[in-house]
Amino acid sequence: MKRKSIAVIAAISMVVLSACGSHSSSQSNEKANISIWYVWSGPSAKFIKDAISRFEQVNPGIQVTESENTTVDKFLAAINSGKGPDISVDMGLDNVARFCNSGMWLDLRQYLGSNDGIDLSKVFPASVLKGTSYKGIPCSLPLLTDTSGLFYNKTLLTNAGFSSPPKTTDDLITYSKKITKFNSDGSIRVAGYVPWTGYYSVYWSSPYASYMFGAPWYSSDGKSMLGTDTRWEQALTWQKDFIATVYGHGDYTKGSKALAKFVAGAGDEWGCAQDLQAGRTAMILDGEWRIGSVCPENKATKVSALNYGIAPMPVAPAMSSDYGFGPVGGPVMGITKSSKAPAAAWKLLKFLATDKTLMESGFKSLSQFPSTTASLDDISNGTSGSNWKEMISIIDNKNSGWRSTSIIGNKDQSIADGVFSEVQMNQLPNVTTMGFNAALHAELLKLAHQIDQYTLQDKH
Amino acid sequence: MLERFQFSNPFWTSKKWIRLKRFLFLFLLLSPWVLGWLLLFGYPTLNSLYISFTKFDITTKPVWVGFANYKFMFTQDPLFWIAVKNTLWIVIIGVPVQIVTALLITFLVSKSGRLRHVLQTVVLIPSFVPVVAGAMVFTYILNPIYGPVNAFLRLIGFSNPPMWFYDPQSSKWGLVFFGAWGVGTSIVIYSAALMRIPRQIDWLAQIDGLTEWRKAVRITFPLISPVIFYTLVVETIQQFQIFAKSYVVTAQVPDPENSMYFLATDVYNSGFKDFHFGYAAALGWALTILTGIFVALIFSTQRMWVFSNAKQD
Amino acid sequence: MRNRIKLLNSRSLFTWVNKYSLIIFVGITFVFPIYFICSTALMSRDQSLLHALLPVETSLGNFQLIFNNFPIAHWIFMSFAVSILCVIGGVLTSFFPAYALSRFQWRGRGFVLAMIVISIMVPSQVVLIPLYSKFVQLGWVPSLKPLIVPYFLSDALTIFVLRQFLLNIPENISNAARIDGATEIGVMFKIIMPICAPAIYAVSFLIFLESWSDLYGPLLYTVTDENLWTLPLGIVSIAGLHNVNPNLTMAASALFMLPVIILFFLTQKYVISIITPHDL
Repeated sequence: MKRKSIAVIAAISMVVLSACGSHSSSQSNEKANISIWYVWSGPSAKFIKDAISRFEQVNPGIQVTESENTTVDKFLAAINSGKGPDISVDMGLDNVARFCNSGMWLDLRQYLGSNDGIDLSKVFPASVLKGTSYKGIPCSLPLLTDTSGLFYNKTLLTNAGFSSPPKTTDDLITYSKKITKFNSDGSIRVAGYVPWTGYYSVYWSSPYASYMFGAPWYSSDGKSMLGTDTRWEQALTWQKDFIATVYGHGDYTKGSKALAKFVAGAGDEWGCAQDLQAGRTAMILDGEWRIGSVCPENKATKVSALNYGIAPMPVAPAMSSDYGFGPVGGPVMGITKSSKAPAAAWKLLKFLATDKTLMESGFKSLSQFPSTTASLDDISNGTSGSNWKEMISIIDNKNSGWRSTSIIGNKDQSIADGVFSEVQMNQLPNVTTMGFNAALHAELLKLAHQIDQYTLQDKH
Repeated sequence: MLERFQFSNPFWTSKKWIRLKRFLFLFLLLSPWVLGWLLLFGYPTLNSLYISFTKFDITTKPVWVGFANYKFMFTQDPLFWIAVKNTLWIVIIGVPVQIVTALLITFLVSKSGRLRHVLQTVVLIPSFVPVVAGAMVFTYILNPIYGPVNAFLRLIGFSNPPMWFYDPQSSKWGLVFFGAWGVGTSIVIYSAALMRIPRQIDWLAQIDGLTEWRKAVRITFPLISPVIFYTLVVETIQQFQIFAKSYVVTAQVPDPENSMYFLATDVYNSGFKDFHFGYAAALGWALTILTGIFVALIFSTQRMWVFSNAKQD
Repeated sequence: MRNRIKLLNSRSLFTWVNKYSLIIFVGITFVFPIYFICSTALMSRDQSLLHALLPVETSLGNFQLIFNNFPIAHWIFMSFAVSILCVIGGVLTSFFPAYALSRFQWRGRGFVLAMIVISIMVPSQVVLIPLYSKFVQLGWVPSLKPLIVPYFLSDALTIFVLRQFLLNIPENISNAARIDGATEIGVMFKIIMPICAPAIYAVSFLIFLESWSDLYGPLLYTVTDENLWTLPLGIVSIAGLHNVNPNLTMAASALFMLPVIILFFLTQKYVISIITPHDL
């Protein structure tokens, strides 16, 4: 669900675009030059480029300069010298807390409540809004959104005797045990579900453990709950048992090795060799863009048709009454601190966040969901397939939303993912001396402490 | 009589004017470098030293915090020590591997007769490949399942070849081989150095009945040792700064256990992801000092193994 | 004749076979990645995502695609313009310091050399932000100036390489010229510089390569103005966030490598006869 917000190329870069903003008052229709920086490039950027042109036509006094291919880590020194963009787009929600907290993105309440404002709850679904503000202060608006659910191969499930998708994490193990097939040399030929951090970009990892098991990240005073809330241990123990039972015939080490090999041989995520498409995996968690990426049958390149369904992600048995929700969150944009024409910038922000054509073309070209309730309803009531509608129902679920983030951005995830990787690779430290459970507990405590250290470092 | 015209001798009896002229001439020659050093190196470096003692997120003015950054770095930052460990590993293992590979291939090239030019070009071309493309290629080549390297290893008898980038224990070895692939430029330098060794030495060695190996160790190596020393220093410095390779590789193959997390990565992340530019500057200085220690160590061994009859500096 | 007889000896035949198989092995290891790039550049998108080794249908279609959809010709032009300027600046301003540091003895020479070593040793990240702020203050962002001007303030490694070469040119040549009445400047330009031609060709190539491959510089200083983009930035743009078209990315990469390879063949003689540092 979370698109990598780091460009493929190392971007040791900061860029400045001189936004020669004029001193505009908030109401009048005077001239202004504003700039917007976003990550999309090439043909992917067309939907937003078109929207900006339309905005300029409707607002003749405002000239917008765009810069594509600029990830968020580029606009910082620019802000220092007051020459940053007026609006910047971040590809995910992980930096919202940080930007809100440090004032890098302006508090939008003054604009939201003005004559030219918008009523957030009427325009955007609640789940999409979650995570766009921090401690009650809205500092960003969504620009398209994503959600994720369980994509499953109907054929493989039916062949194993299952007529409906799994609903709990226990189900996942049961299903996988029956569906998984091995080669004669012991390697995995077809996997049920792969609980492996790093398998693909949307996958079993610390955020998903928190979604599926309800494990909380922070206590009310901002301390990491990694070591104190037992649901984290539950999630990781589940992962270990999964690997041992399904892929190791009860042997954890064997299962880990076999699964490691399986993951290394995964097909490229983008393309027709992706494991779900190729029938190599029966169930994966993925974002809605997968619907647009499914390949039709092609005999020449040996691609077979995929008979699949979508369901909300499975949850721990203790949470089964909540089943039906999922993570929701995508690109967001805010008005930066360095903006010299925030009023004009707000006009553009509002336009982009609510423009119907932009939502439609973004959906068509990028296979990403619109972020407005109106456009989502259009899809639900329209002729798009049931798969899209299934995922929209996840967005509509009252429990959906993004996990709670902190001011250290996604550093907490980077740290927490470490233990997930250690468990799946059977490289948890001190396992032989302390036994798995104690070693796991110790490691979680250690990582919680690390997260706290970094949070402390960041407190202004 | 000729001595009066030789500039290289101290010219005590000269007129002050000639001395001044010479000084001006030298200064003029050096001026681009002096300017460059001051503007592009001296000033920014001092500035960054200052920043390392501040808390600086670029949106506000730096706030002096004394040694707080350094204290956090040494006592409270777990990623720092991971980065130090990884960086030291890749320098201590990676650089010798690169140099030995370059030397071995250089010898091979020198013995390959008519194929010499071809082979030399072939090993040089990888250095022209952009890092992104190179990382994509190596991620494929070193893929444990469908990559050619492991296929080959399985062919010659290894039933369980390493998982390379997919296993934190072996991932850095993948980077080492990626680095060894780019030794073309070193090979060019070594080849040129080899070519300068007079033919007579070959003859003498043959007459003395030395085997290839002994000749290489006892004669050739010392003769090209200055060149090796040069590349050793330069490559050590560059290896300390390793960043791009691991960055691009981890964008394709995630590294949750930070096995490919280096000091330069830490500098980048602290600055551009966490916006702690003061801390990033401090990390940069830690990296510099570590590099300096190693370079000094290498220099201190110079007398022991570097054979030189050129003017010492 | 003697060689032929040598070959018939079974032991030397063994070494011969060994040697050439080793050569072939090394050759393949180094060439394979290049082959991979070129073959992927000729593949269809679907096939490239399968990591196939042999294109099912080779087509130059990818190249046509990138020329049509991206301003690749412009990027190539910009890269050339910047790199050529960097070569001119780098060579000119590095030759003179190298000359001063090699053809004369003077107090402080060792100090200057030490300063040069130190400037190479400090990682670029350390100077990055202050330098960037400075360029911003000067109004040089976004522009190509930060990419080119530093080369006009001499390049440390180039100075080293040229210095080594100059050290090895015998003093007698300079002295003979001086006796004949040449001025110091005359000696430098008319006598020594021409002798340096091979080294100058070699460093020109190296500077060209460095500037041509530079990604971070343009990313830092020009990314917000598309007209200033160079080829490496363009390749990033083609790759996009997820590199969903590896065949296109590789095609662009192949185009990227081509001028360098051509240039190398042209200057090969000189690059291979590059000076060797006897000691720092």
